[in-house]
Amino acid sequence: MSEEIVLEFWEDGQVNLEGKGFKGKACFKEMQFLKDALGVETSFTKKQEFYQTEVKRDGKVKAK
Amino acid sequence: MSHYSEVVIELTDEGCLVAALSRLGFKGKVEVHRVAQPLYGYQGDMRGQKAHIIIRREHVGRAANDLGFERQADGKYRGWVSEYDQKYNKYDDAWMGKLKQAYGVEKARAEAKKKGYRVSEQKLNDGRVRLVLRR
Repeated sequence: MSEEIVLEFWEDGQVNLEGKGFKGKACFKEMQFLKDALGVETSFTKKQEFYQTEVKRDGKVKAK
Repeated sequence: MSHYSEVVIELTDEGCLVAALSRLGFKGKVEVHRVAQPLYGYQGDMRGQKAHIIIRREHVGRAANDLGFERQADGKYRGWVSEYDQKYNKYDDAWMGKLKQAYGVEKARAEAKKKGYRVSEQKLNDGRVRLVLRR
């Protein structure tokens, strides 16, 4: 998967940034220049869907 | 690992602020001053506020006052919009939000190009603007 950064600018002056396809901490480093340039970071969420697992009641494990 | 961030936009870049005002319809109507200049009211009366970036009242609307942005000591711009223009010419919080949106788009495009990214822009139906940066 190629690396890309997606920014969505809302009409109230907020912006959401999402890094896609980065490995390890490269995402933090690569997006920092945008955060520094735009303003104040108000929330931060790691995306873990690639290595999360869901345990079902019957004991089976299903990868998301 | 990838991540999400949410950022509240602050106005700090003169060129991007001028470009954002152009996006909102003030292309060629924006004054930029090294030293802050006085703002004037709808009757030509000098107001107590000064600004580095100014849109004169004739471009703002009917019976309008000058609209300005003053650079503060911390580098952030403070907007000066009269109560009248907020109420009757719709330069209200919603307009300021759209200005920040346009500013953010301009600032992100400029910074991304410095880093060698290719940038694509898309206006969404709900008013959001999406930028995708790739390299």
